[in-house]
Amino acid sequence: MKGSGSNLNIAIFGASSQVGSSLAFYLKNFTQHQVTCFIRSSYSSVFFDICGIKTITTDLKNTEDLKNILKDQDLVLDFTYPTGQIYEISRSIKENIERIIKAMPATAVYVYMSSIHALCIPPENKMVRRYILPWTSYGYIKKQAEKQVVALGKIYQVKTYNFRLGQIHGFLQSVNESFREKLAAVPVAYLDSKAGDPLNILFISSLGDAIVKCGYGELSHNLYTLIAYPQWQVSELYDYYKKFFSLDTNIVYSPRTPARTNSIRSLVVNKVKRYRPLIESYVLLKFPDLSLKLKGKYRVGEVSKINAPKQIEYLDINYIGLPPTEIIMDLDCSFESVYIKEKLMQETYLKLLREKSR
Amino acid sequence: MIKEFKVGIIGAGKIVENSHLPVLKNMPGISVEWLYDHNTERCQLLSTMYSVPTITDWQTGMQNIDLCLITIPYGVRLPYLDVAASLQKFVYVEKPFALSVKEHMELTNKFLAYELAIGFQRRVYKIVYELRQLIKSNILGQLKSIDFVQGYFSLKGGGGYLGNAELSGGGIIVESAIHSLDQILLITDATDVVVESATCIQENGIDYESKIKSIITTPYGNITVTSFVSTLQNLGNTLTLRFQNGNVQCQLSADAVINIIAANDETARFDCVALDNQNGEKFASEIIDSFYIFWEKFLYALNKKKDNITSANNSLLTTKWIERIYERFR
Repeated sequence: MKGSGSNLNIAIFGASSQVGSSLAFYLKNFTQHQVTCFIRSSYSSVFFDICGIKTITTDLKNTEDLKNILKDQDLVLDFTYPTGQIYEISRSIKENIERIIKAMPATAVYVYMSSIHALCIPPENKMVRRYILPWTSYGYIKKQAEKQVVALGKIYQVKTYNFRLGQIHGFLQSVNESFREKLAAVPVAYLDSKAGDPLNILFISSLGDAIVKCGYGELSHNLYTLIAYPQWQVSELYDYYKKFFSLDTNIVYSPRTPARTNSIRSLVVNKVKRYRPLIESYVLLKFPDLSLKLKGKYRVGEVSKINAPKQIEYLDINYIGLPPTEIIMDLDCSFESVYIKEKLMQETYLKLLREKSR
Repeated sequence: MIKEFKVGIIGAGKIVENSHLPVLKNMPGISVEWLYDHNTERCQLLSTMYSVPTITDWQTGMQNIDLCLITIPYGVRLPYLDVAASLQKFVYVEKPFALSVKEHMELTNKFLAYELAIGFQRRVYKIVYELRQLIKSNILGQLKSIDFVQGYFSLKGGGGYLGNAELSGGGIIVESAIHSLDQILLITDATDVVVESATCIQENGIDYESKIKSIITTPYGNITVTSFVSTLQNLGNTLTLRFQNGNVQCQLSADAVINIIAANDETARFDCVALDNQNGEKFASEIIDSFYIFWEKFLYALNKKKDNITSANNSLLTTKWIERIYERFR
């Protein structure tokens, strides 16, 4: 493991993801570290070419090839999340993790990435805390994967970390655009939160700082939830976007009170709905045919609702509370610092795009 | 009497999984007879999901249906279209249909006008209907120009055909923005288009970002259309119509809200469901609705033996615009 201040060779798997690609851009342009991105096809290579980031298209099944490619890497970041049906995903994840860790030099560090939903937060719940039951298939799958990361790290003598990422913000993230669009669309925005509620968010530059700490061996635990700490308040985030996009939207903080059910039927339906992800995790993962049939029936059912009256959709969910895992407390993530970095990153990126355009 | 159509599906991609099959399973007058894809795993998966038989010999399968839905990539469709035409089957083909006017004409000439539909489902979006009415009403004076912006940062698509220009036909313009270009032609009743200038970021025939200036001929006069489309940065999705006495701004999503900005910069927002709809026209306020309504309209065309907005001959101008844009990119 390299000492603090030295240059790191950082490999990123799943680099075509929004967070993976943004992080690669930040590391390449705003740190001294060397980044290599692993991509599945040439489609995404244009972004990395524009940003001057080295890419490799490789087959994870080719162990010797992978070993050769990873031999000089100090830090390996894994943002991959396989596509496919839910009953196939766990197996694919395990295979991918093992292929990568097995091919890594023992001196390198492996970091496995999940979102904060690995906490298994129940649907329509915004409280970040410890949940015993896997309320979502994503949470169930990711918790299994995190255990495998630890086990495989021990088997192959590789230092591993599991990161659960708070909601990631940054100028290339879709959440940025979503905030801009929603705030620009209305003169008054009503939020289902109090102004002072503590958020679980993180900006790309702070994620980059946390990654580098891993590379230098400065983190002692295996599992971290990555959030901006001290936590941003809801009002700070909305002020940030108003400032970033020069918007004058009036924000009204108006936490919703729980709706009351009117009938026994709706009570029963709501109860069953509540357990849907749990059923998905425990039952459907084990019965592929049943899983597919139900998925098909669900889609057909959804279309059959076309003529039903439309209901209001509430879009914004801000995850609030303090994560139950370790957090990294000394990341540079203040409002002012993040704002300056994001503006600079955006400016740099747009300049690169302008140079490439013909 | 309304005929029941036996449908065969070529292609088992996401659009079939998430849109066509759920709609067809709900659609009166449709019986899905089979599903074919060279990817047998995907085929089997959708077969299990929707209880649709799979076949391995599509040419024989084609003989036993009335209507073929073709959703495979642009670059590999021709043999299927040819066989469907030779067997006088009706066809619903996903966009992009053709990359040149010549190609478009050659393909449409193999069918009667009402027999061939192109999947421009977004034509039936509520917002299209509303904007068309708004322009026609002349309430803001004459339409002068249009600005269209569409940008969502995404590098996904590499695993499938999108990374291969021969299969996809191009990049973000032909794959995604084509819907909006088509909608613009529809809302303005355009009859011709010229591309004046274009800059782009393009690699291996795939365009990722472009700025295009076009002039469209409409009953309201010649209108300048500027478009900025990107998959490399977040720009949002905004259509701005500049009129003599004010501007209109909205997204081109199904149920977008219309913002009207007066000459003195005062803004008002409208959800214009109540606009004149004398024909009881059905329009979509969600993406999945648009698939349903578009299928309904195609079946109506087939039953009446009369072309309508689903028909391929009514999207020739969209193909012309695409052809002119890619000529500029070269």
